[in-house]
Amino acid sequence: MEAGPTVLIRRAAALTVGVLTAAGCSGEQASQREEPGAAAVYVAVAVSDEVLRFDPATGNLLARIALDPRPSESDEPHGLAIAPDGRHWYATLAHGEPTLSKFERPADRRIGRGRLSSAGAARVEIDPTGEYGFVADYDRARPGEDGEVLTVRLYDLEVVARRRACPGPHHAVQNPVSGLVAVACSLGDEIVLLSSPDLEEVSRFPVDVEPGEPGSPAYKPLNLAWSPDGSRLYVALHLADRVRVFDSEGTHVGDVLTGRRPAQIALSPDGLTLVVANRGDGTVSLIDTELLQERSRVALGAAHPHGIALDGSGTRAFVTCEGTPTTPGRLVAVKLDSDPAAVAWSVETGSVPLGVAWAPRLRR
Amino acid sequence: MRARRSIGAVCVLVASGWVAACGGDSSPAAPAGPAGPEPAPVLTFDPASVTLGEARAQTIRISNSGNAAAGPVLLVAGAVRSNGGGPIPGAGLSVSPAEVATLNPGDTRDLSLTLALPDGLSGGEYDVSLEAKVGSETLASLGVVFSVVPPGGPQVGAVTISGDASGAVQGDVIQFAVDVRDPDGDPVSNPAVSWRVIPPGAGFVTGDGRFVAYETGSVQLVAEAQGAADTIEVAFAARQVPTGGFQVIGNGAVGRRFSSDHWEHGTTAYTGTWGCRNVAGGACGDALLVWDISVADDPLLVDSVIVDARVVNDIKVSADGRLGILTHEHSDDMQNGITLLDLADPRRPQVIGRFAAPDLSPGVHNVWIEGDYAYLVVDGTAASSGLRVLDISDPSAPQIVASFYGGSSFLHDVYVRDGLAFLSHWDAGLIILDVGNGIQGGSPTSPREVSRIRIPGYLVHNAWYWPDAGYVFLGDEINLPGRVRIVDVRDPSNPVEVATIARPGAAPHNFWVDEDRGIGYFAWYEAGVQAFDLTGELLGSLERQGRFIAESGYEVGGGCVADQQQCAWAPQLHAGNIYVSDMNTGLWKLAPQF
Repeated sequence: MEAGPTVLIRRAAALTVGVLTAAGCSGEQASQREEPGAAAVYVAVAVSDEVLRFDPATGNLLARIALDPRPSESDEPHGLAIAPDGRHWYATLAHGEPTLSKFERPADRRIGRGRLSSAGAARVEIDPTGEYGFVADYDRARPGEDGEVLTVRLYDLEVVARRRACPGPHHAVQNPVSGLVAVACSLGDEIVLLSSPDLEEVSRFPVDVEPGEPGSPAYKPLNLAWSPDGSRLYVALHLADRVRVFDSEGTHVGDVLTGRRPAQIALSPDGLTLVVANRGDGTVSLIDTELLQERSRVALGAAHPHGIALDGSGTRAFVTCEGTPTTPGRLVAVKLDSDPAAVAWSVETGSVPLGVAWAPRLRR
Repeated sequence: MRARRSIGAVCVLVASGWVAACGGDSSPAAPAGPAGPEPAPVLTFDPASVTLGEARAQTIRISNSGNAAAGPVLLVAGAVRSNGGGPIPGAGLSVSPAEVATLNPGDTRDLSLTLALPDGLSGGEYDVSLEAKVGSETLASLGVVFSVVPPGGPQVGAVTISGDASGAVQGDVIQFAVDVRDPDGDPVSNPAVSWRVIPPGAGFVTGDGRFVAYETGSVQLVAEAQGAADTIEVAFAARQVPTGGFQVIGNGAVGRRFSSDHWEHGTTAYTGTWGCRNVAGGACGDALLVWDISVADDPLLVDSVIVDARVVNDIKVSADGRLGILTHEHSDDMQNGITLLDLADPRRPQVIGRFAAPDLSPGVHNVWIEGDYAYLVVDGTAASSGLRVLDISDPSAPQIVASFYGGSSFLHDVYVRDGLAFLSHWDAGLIILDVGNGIQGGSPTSPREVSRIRIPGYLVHNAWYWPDAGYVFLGDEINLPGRVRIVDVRDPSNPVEVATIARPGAAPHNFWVDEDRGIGYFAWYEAGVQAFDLTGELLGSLERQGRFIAESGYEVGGGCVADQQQCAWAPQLHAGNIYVSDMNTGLWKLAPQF
């Protein structure tokens, strides 16, 4: 019915990728065998309270990392993000005591866990400097009331600012140029722009001229992506089966139809391709952002696509598919540079994989 | 400032560690130093030990002088102990913050230590340890010593202990009195008396002279006041508790799913299912299983109910057996909520309906049915979560009639009896609500808080209330060694911790008390089920009082640790047998042979 809170570090990954691309690198160079610090795909699995690490080239499962100290409680790891330098990754825990954990690569050693003192913890995004993380609480239990966005200082995992922004904040992403943080208010049909890191409100605008009532959204903006130059904001409208495009001021630029119930979206490093996980029909849409047209749609062969991350070159997408209570979740890799785009591999993850993040190869 | 430091720290680490790269070469991003040991955090307390004397609070510091970050750093206080003796119920060391999110190389954090002590603690020396733990490793430890000095008073000429200790046995609480006279032989009013036990670990004595023996044989009890003292010697016989073990009657095996909580009524048992099991043909917790337990041996699976969930954490049946409620978490439609079952034919549950509401959408973890009301535990750490009271007088049209949130942390479980609701509220402790008892004028539709008790570092996971004895038994499923805490609630407005049951290497989960016989059945995740004698007044460390009766890891088919280190979820005494749901192996039927 609705996409749950999700994950992805689109902009942070894009920044890293930008550096790598400038150096002539390709994310496709991931090794076929595991070596310390190899490129990796991390997946947060909600029911088993784990983060899984996969080989992005083969889909081989390389590691299971337990997140939750409560053995028989299901606390729902949710959001994942990679630091711009690739050395750390972060994961939110949505239930129990919502937290943000910090892990060190390549050992995947946990080196911190900050309590967020919030109602929940959905996605986490990192600013381009790697100094701050932005977490949306996405409390569905009070659909008409304003939920929180938090700024977490990543050095010591202290919450340095929090703002009751709007109903159902699900995703908060910083504009790479202006520095403003856009918040997708999923249960309020609006976008709020906040300053960073203190989260003072700068402006807000509805996602449509006829938005739903607070708590009863007609469009349900779940996830966002800024273009690399900060001039465009892409908004996945979950209930409207489309991505809506705004300029940085909130002026409506255009729409692109997608598959059913778009969830997370990810933009290629060059900003030319937007990839959309369509939770409602098990597909991803590839959108040409110059034409604002859906270029192709790829069936994933798995239920409920949710999270999406692109590799450093933007040629491969990694999509988490939640599965159902009777079918396990999956991680599906899609080759974006083949014609047509096609599934490269698909592996089981256990139930309800949500967040996904691609991490670049490290070297000494 | 800290952010700037972080960059520096990262650079140092990067120089000897890893940087993002994607080329095939191995050229270093910075000059590589000589190969050395793996980076590691080094945590130290400053000062290395604390002598508080008569103070009750102090600020200390923890620092990381190593070359790797560490976190979360949990500051875990041990039990407060008398010099050479056992834990002091109701005494604790609070640390603030109790957790440091991360401690980077070179960083320090101030920690505030505060002692909480029960009234009337005897004079003498006490100690408590503090550990800095990261995961299961202890990276630093600290000893805190403090003293209790009885308040001054008039000169004392003589102290005389009296009390009837005839037939004394280990584990019984004996009240001793003390008569204190001044040098003229006149009684001293409100004398400050300190008690101690010789040998120190042989028992526990409270400041008001209640004594419980941990050992058999001869024990000396000393009462002192202003330099005068009296000593009595008492011989304690071994406690006689029922003897025998558990006979394994049968197992309703569940292998494709993990099992969760259960309930027995009449000749039927209901078991929930949990999570998603990674075995061949494995499945998620989308089912309630129905068992015929009238059979002589293995419970017989006779039906199931499939719902939209990945965790059916709890199932409860109304007292008349006609209504069942199961809980939903991780449902596919994300609405969660509960499903109400018509149990007119208990072996063929019929779904009355699923009740979902925004309030319940985060997931319902536990439920309790009491009369026309269901008490639901909603996942989450905000006022939008916590307790929801449902009017189920018409089970086809439930209505939320009340809510409660404890203000911090999260509600994990609820137990209602005699008009009192016992909320296991994790960090926030045990919270007692009046939901019809009358003590605070509360009702199911208007719960009123009666009291709460927070035990530093203790995460209250579950509670069992035994009204006739006036005790609540608490569990903490996280911290090891595991410890059941026993709280005296004879005055519900003033709950007081009085006793504990500790077990190394295992954490307690749910409990059941055979109140007629005074036997407690405790599920320990890693160790199966354990029976304890709970008769009489409870004080001190029960596991040291000869109260242990029996335990069982089921002894059949590998028992507890088939594929995880936790297993025993909950015991229930029903028709003379103990039923235990085990996460890994399903429903067990045990016969207590004692």
